[in-house]
Amino acid sequence: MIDILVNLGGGFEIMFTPMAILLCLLGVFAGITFGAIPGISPSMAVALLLPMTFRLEPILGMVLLLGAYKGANYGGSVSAVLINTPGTPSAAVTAFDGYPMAKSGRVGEAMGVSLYASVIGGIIGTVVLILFAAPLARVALRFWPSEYFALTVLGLTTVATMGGKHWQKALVAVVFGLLLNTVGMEPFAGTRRFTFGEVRLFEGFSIVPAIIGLFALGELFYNLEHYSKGEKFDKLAYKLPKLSYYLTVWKNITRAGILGTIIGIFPGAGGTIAAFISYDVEKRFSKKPDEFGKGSPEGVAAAESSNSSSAGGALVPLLALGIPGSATAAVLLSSLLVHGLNPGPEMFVDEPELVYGMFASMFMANAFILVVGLLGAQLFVRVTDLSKKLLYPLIFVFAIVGSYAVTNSMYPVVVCLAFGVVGWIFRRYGFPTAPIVLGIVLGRLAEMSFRQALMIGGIESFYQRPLTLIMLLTAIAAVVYPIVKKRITGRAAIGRED
Amino acid sequence: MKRALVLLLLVSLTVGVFAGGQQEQPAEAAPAAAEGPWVPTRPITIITHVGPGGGMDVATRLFVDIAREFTDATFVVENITGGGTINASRAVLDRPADGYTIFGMAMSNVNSVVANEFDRGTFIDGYHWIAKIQRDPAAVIIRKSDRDAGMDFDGIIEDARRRGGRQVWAVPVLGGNKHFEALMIWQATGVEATATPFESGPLGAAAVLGGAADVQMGNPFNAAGRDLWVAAIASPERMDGFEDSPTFAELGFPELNDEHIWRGFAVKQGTPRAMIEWFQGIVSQVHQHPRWRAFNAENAIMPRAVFDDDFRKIVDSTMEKTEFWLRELGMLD
Repeated sequence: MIDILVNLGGGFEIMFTPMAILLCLLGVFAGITFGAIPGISPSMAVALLLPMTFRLEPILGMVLLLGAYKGANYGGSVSAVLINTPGTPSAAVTAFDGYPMAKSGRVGEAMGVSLYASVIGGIIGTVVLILFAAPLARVALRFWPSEYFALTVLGLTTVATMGGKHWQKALVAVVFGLLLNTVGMEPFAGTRRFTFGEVRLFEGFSIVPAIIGLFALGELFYNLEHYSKGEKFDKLAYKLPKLSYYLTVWKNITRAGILGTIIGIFPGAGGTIAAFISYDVEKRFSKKPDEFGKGSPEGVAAAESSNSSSAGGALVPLLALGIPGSATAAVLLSSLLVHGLNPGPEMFVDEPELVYGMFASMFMANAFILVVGLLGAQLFVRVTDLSKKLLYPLIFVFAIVGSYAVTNSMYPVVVCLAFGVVGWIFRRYGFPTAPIVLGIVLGRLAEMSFRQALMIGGIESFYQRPLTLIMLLTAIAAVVYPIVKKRITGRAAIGRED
Repeated sequence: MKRALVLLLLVSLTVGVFAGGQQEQPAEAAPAAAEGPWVPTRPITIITHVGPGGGMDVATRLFVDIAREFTDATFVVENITGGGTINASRAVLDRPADGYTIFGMAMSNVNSVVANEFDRGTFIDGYHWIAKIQRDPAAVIIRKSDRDAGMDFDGIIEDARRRGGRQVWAVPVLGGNKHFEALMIWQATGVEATATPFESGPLGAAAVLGGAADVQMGNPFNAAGRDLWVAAIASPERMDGFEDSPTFAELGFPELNDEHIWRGFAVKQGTPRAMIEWFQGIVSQVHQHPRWRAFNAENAIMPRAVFDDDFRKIVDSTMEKTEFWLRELGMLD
């Protein structure tokens, strides 16, 4: 512990130099800006800055990239809250409650919760990373494909709470999302499925344009259909709440932060799954679960905290084992490789200044996110003040340009538009769109890990490995428990009436 | 406002139909320019098929960074992923053959053309193969703890024989280069095992470290810095940083000693010869540069500068190999 503190002190010494501070600020600013633009994911934001690091000292390069990584994770929530257009896939969960809060006039509150949850979640992820990187990395390695499959099943059970009373509709939506994964080249051998000879369908429906379409365009089309002249947003409260307000969601932020970090350490799981599961857990813990999906600050806190902390989690396998836990961690890895640095257990011994400098820079990045976020929020919230005649076309353009940016081609634009229509139809007939995202996010991992598990250990994998079994049983309980509870409550009520 | 909705939907439909119906056929080759030194007058785009952080992406970005020392030309690296690497290839072929678009590609592009039965006249013959720049040798990787317990290449083969096909080898994808390399090793040693895809080299390494897989068919770099050991390597001699790893030739399998994946650059046929020569000059200079050499050495990659017809022969050999193994696997009619 003393060693860690001494090394961390050395890391902060590096960080308190003008160049490091400037690069950290630049990274955070660029990250928030890129992250807020739909279509530019955190990995793309970091990659855009990658060439700048080739001629910098390795630690300074990492300071810049980590700032951008952290900034982009927060930036994704800005457009999610304000215009229901998640800047990053993981921010889709933030939009569930952030946008309804903004729509009902609580825009300052929503922005404040997302900012503070992001910052505190980020700090939780960093602390866990510093204290437990090596043991947690070993745990991550023990996660075999059967466990990944069980994790996806657990993730899919969140649909049970997402749908509420209309769980059947949520189920239809999640199955629709899962089926969408069957289009394109399957992940095992690249066999084409439902591509009809069309090369552009080989890659299937990528998640970013699909989310932009479902959320931004679906909402836009629906609003246009129900628009009446003179209609305005509810009276907007722009001001961010006082610090004491955030104490009301501290438990949600802490729990989701820890859960997000844990899920983040598993390579391939990622912030989006972390956000979905944390959101579900917080809804189950909440005293006001009915508010989730309609504008619950607890929902925003859970989504943002877990998403942000998962970034710290993703660095656990990267730094301790050299295994990138996410697409962004892969870009960070390439920056280290260009400098001839191979992350892994030896790096903690050979390059302590670099490792602890990175840790220190993550703390500083969180501080800068708070500063930039607080200053920026005063400006960002004014977006909702725009006339709808101006705002709607802007959202449309934003969605199209953002989709185009994904691969610099028209195909994602077509996907975005198609999903916009799907989102609108779903909305019109009372089907939730969030489970579609869940299905798309989890479908590929579920298929891949299921088939891997079968190849490695056969069907026995799913009941002979204790962790797999526990997670599968938990998933069953997560679905069955609310149904049983409802029936018992119902019978009790009937009994009282009798 | 309902009119606006109808209008927006119509716009969406039009954009969709337009984009969906766009004929992304390769453009006609531009006539070759008059001979003479080629001087770029605008940025040159290098399109890669991998996302940011991928092997070719990192190599290309470093390459252009070093190239700045030899030319005033501006290079832009563009990642166009998806479509089994064909999206990037199409994007290159759709642009004029004026020398301002280069394809930063790898062996997997050629595999994809064969595996997906794309038109070779377009996606192979449509290119002038400028330069192969890297040779990434094949490596059989196991846990260091297994090595310390006495396991080596012979031990792996013995274990595979004993387990009758249950030994798990991690490869990125079935029907890809690493899968072919594993098949070649099993064929040469007369054993059977199970190839399981783990999507990427790092995830394959994680699978071996965690015990989900017994062996990784990868590149030496996958073992670097991790608790992994290269039990066999396809290299003419033992490699720096991997001195305790024997070559396949040393192990009695010289036929496996040349297995590797390659990366290189290509341009659309019809590109001015002067541009090709200019870029090959840059490749030669970068090839000798200490930073390029150091980067490759640290990642156990052999830098190469193989041009024109010699590179094309390598491409042809890749196609033959891919076709052979895909047929063996029943993945190609």
